[in-house]
Amino acid sequence: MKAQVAIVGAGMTQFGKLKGEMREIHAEAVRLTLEDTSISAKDIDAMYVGTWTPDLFLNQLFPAPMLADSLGLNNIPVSRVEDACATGSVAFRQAAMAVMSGLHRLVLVTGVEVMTQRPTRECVKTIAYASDRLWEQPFGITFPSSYALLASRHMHKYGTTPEQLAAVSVKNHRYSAKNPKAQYGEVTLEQVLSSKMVSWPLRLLDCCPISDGAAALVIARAEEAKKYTDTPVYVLGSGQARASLSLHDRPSLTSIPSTKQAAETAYRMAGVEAGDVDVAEVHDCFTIAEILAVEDLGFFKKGEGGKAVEEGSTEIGGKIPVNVSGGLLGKGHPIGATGVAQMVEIFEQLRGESGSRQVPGAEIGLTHNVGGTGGVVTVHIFSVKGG
Amino acid sequence: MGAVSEFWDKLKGEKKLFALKCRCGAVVFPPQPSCPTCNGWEMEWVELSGRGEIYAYTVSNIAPPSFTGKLPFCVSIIKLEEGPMVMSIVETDRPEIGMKVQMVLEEKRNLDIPDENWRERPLYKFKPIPAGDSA
Ligand SMILES: [Zn+2]
Repeated sequence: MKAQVAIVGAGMTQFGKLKGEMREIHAEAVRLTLEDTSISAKDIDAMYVGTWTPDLFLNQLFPAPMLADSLGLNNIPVSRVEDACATGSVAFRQAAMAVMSGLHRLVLVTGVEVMTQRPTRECVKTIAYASDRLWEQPFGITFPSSYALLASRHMHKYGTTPEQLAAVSVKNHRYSAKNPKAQYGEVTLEQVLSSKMVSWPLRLLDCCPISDGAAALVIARAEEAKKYTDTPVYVLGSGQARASLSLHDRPSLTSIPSTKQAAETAYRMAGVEAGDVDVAEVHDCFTIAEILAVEDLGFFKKGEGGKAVEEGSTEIGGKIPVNVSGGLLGKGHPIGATGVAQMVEIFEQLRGESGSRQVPGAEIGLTHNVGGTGGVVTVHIFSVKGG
Repeated sequence: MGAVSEFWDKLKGEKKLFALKCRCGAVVFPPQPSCPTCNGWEMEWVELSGRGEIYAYTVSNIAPPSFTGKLPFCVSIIKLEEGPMVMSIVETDRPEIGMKVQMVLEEKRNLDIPDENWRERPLYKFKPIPAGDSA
């Protein structure tokens, strides 16, 4: 299918513990995004802001107009999107649909989160608010313990090992060491396996960090994209699906059904198969999440994800390089920014701009962004060809 | 109003778990306002045995502040005898998938939900059924 939408500019801030106000961090990502294009902030027709909870982290509700003020936008439509950790990519999808509909020509998509101003224990509590307040929160559930429940089932059914989980963390931190925007550098297998147990079987280095950061994209109609940049990245496919908010409402815990469904939709729309993807950014909030993702996206058979990672099949030079940005584990996970930052990485990879972590000759890229444990999932497929 | 709050009132009054049974045959637990299978609205309460087995588990060493005095503790997904699954705490140091468990009530629990109605409610938890005890 001929693409209708293209990304014409992309940029992100450093991820980690940042100084500065939310509006400054957000503006920095937009500055870096517009810098390489012929677009000024006054050219933007609409803005979709993905930010998970400045409400609870910063006492700031209604962030979209505040962030628009800080950019000097015209009096255009601006809206905030919230879908837990899938916030950024859902903002992107809303923006892409607005361009596809013909309503807007040039739309700014941003993702931002400022988390480190709160102590970690408060972040643990806040993040748990993305689980069900009646059927999960009263039992002391946390985000790591939700994924630990998934891990326990995968280990039980397929024999996935703590070493295989740790191999995901080692790989992603090895790549984040090559990413100047990433929060963390390399870790060894021994470091992962001896890090503090957070929620069995997940240890501290099986978990993504708490981060600040922002990322941004400008998207345009595909046929106009070359007005703004020499190398647009076309949106070939977009899929979004839901699964139950709570894990106990699902028939199986060894896959994320919404990942499978969103991927099927995106592959069909793009006219590609899993085997055609050259580089993928998948949602590795925890090591088990990447193992589930590489199976559910169709890169490896169900149950073989752990082995694939351990054997190097998800590294550059392997069957399918996954999370060469460092992923959420190594690069950081400022919640609302993550889905947008995944697309920034794919934009740069497909344009051959990724330096020492470049996947040689990558033509088709995929992003996979999960809200919670899969209550909302998006999958997007991109290519420099297709315009 | 509605089945969801009625569930918690029944738990408090009758000290048992109840599910909703739809006219289509689906057993809906935890209760929902409508049947997820057929979208019907006519459902009636059925008592559950409170017995089941651990389907998935973790042992948490971190928790929201109201739980930090209880660490570490086991959070599980329990498959109930009647079929539905439920998340809860299992009072055991040695959880295993397949472990048989039985519902117990923690009489007073502040559910940390911003509504006075949720203060000092009983909360359902589970404990292992000792081997050989078929009760
Ligand atoms: Zn029904």
